[in-house]
Amino acid sequence: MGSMDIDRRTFVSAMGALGALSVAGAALGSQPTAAVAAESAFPAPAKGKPVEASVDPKTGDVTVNEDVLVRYSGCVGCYCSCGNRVKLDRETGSVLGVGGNPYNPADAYPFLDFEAPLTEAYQSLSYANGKGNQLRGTICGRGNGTLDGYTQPDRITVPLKRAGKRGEGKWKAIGWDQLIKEVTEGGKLFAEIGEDREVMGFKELHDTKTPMNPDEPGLGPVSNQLVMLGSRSDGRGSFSSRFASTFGTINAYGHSSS
Amino acid sequence: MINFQSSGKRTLKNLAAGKLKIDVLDCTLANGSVTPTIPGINWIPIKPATNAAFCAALVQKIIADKTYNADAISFTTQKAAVEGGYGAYTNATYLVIVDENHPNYRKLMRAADAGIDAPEEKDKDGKAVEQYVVIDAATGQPTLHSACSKGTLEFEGEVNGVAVRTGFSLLTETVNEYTMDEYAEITGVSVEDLERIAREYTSHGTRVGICHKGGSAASVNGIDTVMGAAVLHAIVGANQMIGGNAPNSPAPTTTGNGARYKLGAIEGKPDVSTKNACYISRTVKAWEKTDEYKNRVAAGEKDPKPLMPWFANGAASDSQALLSIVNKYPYQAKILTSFMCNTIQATPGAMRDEVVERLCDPEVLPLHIVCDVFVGEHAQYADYIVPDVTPYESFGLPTTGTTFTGYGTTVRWQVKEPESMKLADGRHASWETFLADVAEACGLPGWGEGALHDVDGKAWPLRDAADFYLKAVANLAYAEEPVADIDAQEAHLQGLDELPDSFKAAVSDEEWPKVQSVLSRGGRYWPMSYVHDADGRRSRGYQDENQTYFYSEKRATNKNCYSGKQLPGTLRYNPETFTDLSPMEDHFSREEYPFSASEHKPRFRSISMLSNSPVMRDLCSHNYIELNREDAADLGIKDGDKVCATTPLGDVSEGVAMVRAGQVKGAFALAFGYEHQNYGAQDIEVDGKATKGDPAIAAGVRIHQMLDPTVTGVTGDDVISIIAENDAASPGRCGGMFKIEKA
Repeated sequence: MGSMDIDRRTFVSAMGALGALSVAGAALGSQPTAAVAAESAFPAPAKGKPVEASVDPKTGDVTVNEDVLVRYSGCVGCYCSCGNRVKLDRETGSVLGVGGNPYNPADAYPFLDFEAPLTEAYQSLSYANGKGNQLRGTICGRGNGTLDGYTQPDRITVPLKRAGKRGEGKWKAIGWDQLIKEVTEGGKLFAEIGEDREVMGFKELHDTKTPMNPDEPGLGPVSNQLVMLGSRSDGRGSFSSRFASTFGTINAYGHSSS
Repeated sequence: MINFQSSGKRTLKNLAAGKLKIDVLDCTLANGSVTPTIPGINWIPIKPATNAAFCAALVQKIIADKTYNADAISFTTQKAAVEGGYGAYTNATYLVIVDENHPNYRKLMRAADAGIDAPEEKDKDGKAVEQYVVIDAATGQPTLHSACSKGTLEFEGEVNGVAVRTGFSLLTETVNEYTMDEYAEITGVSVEDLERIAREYTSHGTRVGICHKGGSAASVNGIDTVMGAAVLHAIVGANQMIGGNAPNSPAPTTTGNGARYKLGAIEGKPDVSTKNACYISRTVKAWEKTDEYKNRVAAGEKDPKPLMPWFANGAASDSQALLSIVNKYPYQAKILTSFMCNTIQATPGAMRDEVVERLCDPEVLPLHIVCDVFVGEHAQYADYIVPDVTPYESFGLPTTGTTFTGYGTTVRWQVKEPESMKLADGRHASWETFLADVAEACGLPGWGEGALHDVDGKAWPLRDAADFYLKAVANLAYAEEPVADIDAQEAHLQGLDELPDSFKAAVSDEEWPKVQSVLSRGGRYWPMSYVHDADGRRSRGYQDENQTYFYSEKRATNKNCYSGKQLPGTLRYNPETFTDLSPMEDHFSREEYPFSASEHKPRFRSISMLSNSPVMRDLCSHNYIELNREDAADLGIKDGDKVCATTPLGDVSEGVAMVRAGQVKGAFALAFGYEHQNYGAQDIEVDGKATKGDPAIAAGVRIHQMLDPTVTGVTGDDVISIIAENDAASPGRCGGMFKIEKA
């Protein structure tokens, strides 16, 4: 803190300035700056990410910064299924930060009633009306780290096809239509890298009548040789299980046993 | 999966107020849940893979002291329990046939076994209702379980000339197979603590509970942890009671046949089910019931053994499926797909060269498609990588993790435009888009034009995630009482009035403002009063069937496919075994390999994710092999030394020692999710442009569990099989046998 001999009166007013300055997760980081700013009567330096709103600590009045969208959603930083709050730049749509969702009992308790207006959600992140740190939703380090993890530059955005031996780490980018055509039609998909092997695509495998092994019909039809792994409490499993059941395989596995 | 934030916030206040006491049984004092600043919460160190012994010790003491709730466990039906003021019943009083020569030996006695005429009753699915036999507590006579309200707990004798005992009587026997001193030795928990916890647990009526999660059962003997917790909940009548063991996360139907859309109904779906097909994971089917077994017996083979174990009681198991794929048994997987998982790293002992080599062999696995955001552990071995969306760009309606007893569902939705490629029709590449396009190309029913139906019979298309999940959100918005339309000002604040047209088109005009309303809160949760009633039971659904098995007939009759051994149907501590149910300690010396292992949730990684986050790596560059101080002193290991934990089969986990008091003696622990091989740790080349792997992503250590020596290379020359739970088919993550040395 810039001034350690700050008297109580000045400190209180500094805290008031802080309350008005920020209601978000950045509050702690900006505390010294705000205190210094209040004492020296200079405006807070304009740096860092914009805050979404200010809340008057006395009246609880909320002034929203319309440049920042706050959307409530769910976190997949792990499989705990917490709610989250995503701050976005209204103009660019980029994510400014993530925090907790005060409407979601998985990360706020007690939690805001569904019908409570959004102004109460903003207030819950401030100390106004005595609601601070009671109704505020929180998100853990993993939930924050997730944003960092997903914004790394090596993110895959286009389909990749193996351009070397499997596991060799060589890829080439292909178009979406080519991807769908190749995996559904099958054929000599890797002829260009010298593999003469015929690969069975989804269409040929989608035989829900012929037993895969006539001696052991109980193993199921040919289509049961599609195996699908993935999803747990991210809520995305519905699509996979729908696909599996319409394709004719029982081999759809959530992450329940690994 | 437990929701830690929710449970932490809900318990903290009551702990601080002195209204709650918690004993945390954990191998490792982890992640700050127990601190000296909070009263009423203790850490009790326990050795890995011994939770069942802890439960059995408590049950032994509770039965000996007669502190169990005899009323609650004697009810023979749900109806009787509800009338008696409870929300659940047990089969503790049901009779079990104990005559070894009886054809139904080890099964629960049915009406026919007892020579009692039973009414022909069918359940709502048209299945005949089983009629079990109990000794009526009121008359002392054998009768049908449905014909009385309470059965006799302790009975051993004959009914209709057949030797029988109650499940309760059998339980009393199996929990008494060890003395309290032996349980203390096995678990590392003192007799004093075991007895104190048993007394405390039975001193608060139904307002007690055991919160145990997947990790506590992630050992080769894990099913008894689950059974132990179930028995302990039932034995005090705590099931479905507020303050006890209320069911977790009840929620309205959203992705199924809900209030507005019938998302579960699919016309023309092929008839493939467990009735006419086998899981590749060799689960849900007994070995003797397979065609292979029958064919081999018909060919004259006596007592044939399978290449890999079958698990009659196991559910679909991803870890076993992975091992089946690399062994091409019981059949070959022609196409493997994956998304949002890392089964190879998450399966203990599976991420090893022998397994990876086979995954890389197109003769073993002809086509491998992985959907991911990075080249992770699965994607590295794929033929095609489908770009996925992130959690900020995807939809999902997960319920809150366990321990939350309120009502409602979270909605995760596309809060930002996906950065994956935009297709010509405006959709973005994702797992859902991929499935929809493959489905349409294959002409699968239930996809594309007219695939989905609302409750009025109108057909809707299904081409991407929004088509499906926004209808699920509509189901949530209209569940019970429809929510109000969104306020225009609120819609503007969140930019919900500027969402893509395809969102609005996914539901009706009438539904859209209500869907927006649910999106604006990130889900819909009802007030807690919605699920609680005045008399202490959970008000929603407490009348519904909730039975605890004191005796599990399925377990008792499950014959191990290699040794023919059967485990008891009641709770018992079974020492760790290999697949054929032979104790590990019969194969290897515990003196030579005195340590067992456990993994815990990391603070600075997440499951198998986040090693690619520079922020997380700055906070913690690698994990540790966590060792108890006394153990470390005995081994001459100091904090920061490089150490190796080695199995009898030579698997080595090498890492940096963290010597600490917060670790149980006799075991080491590590935080899960480290020692990646891929996920950015490897070199990759895309369109000729090379990117060097970052070794920092590979830092740390994961547990290298041994393969199962009773199957691997035994049942077939090149068979690879992991250690696993005899009933649940889940892998042996915690436990095992290790020696620890300085590296």
